Amino acid sequence: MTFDRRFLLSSATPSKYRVLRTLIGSVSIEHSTIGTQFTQNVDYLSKVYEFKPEVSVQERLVNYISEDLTLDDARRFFFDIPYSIRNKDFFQRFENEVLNYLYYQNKKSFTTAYVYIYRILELISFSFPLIYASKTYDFKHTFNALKEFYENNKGANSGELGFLKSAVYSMFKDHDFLTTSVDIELDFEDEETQSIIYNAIYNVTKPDFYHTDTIDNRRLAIKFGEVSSFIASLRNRFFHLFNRGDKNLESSDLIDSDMFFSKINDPLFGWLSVLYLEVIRFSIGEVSP
Amino acid sequence: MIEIFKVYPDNVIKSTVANGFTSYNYALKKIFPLVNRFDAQRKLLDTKFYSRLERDLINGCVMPHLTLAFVRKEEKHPLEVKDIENYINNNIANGYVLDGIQRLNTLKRASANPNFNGENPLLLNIIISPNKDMLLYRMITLNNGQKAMTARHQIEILTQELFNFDEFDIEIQSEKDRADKIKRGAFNLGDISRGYLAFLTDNVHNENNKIIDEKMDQILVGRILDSDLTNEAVEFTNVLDLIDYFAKDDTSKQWLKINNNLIGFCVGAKSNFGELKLTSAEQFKEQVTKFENAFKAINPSKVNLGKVRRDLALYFVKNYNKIIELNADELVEQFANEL
Repeated sequence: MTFDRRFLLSSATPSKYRVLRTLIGSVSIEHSTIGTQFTQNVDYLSKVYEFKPEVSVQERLVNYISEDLTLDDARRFFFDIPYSIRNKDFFQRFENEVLNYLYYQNKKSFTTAYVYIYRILELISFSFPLIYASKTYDFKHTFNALKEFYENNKGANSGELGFLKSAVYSMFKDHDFLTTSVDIELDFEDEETQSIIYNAIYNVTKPDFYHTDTIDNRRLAIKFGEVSSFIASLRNRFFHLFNRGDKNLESSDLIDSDMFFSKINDPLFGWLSVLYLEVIRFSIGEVSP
Repeated sequence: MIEIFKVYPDNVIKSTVANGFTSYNYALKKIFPLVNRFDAQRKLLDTKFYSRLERDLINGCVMPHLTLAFVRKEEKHPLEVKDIENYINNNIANGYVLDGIQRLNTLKRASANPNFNGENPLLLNIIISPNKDMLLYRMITLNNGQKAMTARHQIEILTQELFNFDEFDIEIQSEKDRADKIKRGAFNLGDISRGYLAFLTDNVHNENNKIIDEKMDQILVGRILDSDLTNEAVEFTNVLDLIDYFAKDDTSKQWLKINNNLIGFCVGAKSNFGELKLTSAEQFKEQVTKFENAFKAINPSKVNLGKVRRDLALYFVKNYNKIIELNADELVEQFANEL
């Protein structure tokens, strides 16, 4: 079959596809108001999934979704009505947040970029569980999925973010990803900085968040299922200085906030990318043969 | 000799753990040769860490303890220090180095230096275990986080080292041996170790080339930890005995030599060992023939055959007592339900 030109990015490309294409790079991004341009070269999914270097980027993208997916099926899901317009608003909002993240990350405004990580987390906390559950042709599945989310939505898992946490547990329980970690390497210029920042983070988060691959003063390995809690905790401890006796991050702990977040953002964004891929995988099931 | 300070019971792996020490000289004479037994000797890690360690050893540092292991089948191991000390010293030639291969290699290199003091102490942690599976479990959980060796690689190496394949009728050849000369009818060591991995993880899908190795390793370790290995009554060595027995028949042997079948067998035998132990080689041969006939009915264009074979082989072995009641058509139906 001939290559469908809609796979190439343009202003008409649906956000749902554009986001995924951007997440695997390389993509040129322009800030239309400010007028700067940069290239996003990182394939965030390659941190977790294998890819064949010899195939085209479109094939790589399709292979990430599923080995059994053809370019033709993908084309229909991304570009043909009605699939292409389902949840359009959500994907457009999501795309805005993703592009802002990448822009500020590229600009090395790491603190600002972290704000976008949190915004993305909030956006998906509300929407992903519902998208995941809205497999519209399978009412029973939707009902059971939502039931599971609500049942798990108590104790440490309560609230909006708790809803996402239970969704993550449900989405990934058959994939074994829950035993894997998201690794933040604190490879700063010197050991003392590493130690200060490692301890700063460790002391304001729960020990339960951490996977056994954690290395003292060097690497924080966060359990896959706890990343959303980690992001939220860090945000709370950073955005607040005084807060009813909770221990927050002092500036002396941070040393410099941009430096602090410079090592943290991309691994967390990688996790968000895996979640995004999972929702795409899930939704693509709705494309009838 | 090795001196033991204290002995403790490990109630998780039902083993005895001892700590003690010896001298560098003794280690080089009696423990280092144990490392050289590894056929698939790992490349020496040429890191800054080890060359610094070499220098420090000469300057009198005390390294972190090495971990040695022994397999001792007795019902209850004694907890008296002297008894354990005697056992270890008398059986040192049968020991395994679970952790510390690189350190031993570094020690060997350091010993060439004229300033090396062979009387310096080498600290040891020793595990005496009732079977090999417990040792593997402990080793995998020990090395969790140390990225030098993946769980899969550890299992590959130990499959060769822990088992004496000469005891079996079946022949087992490593890649290296096959490169020299292929023994007809021999099983691949790699296939056996994949079977062992499946047995330990309780899962027939451990080869996932869609996920990068590092993450896959975390997943494998997670599966081993979840599998309740330390409470299993069936050991892998029992499963090997079964394989050895059934392979007396050539048809069964060919069936087991198909790796996806072997993998399903190793996991299924875990839960259905009792039933299989009572099965004759003749009967097993009839059943695998039935399996293959039923399997032919599967449409290869619709499914991943390798994956399906593993799943169905597992189903077949796990539900062996039900399967013998079915004829080939009924079995096809059961397969369809499973897929």
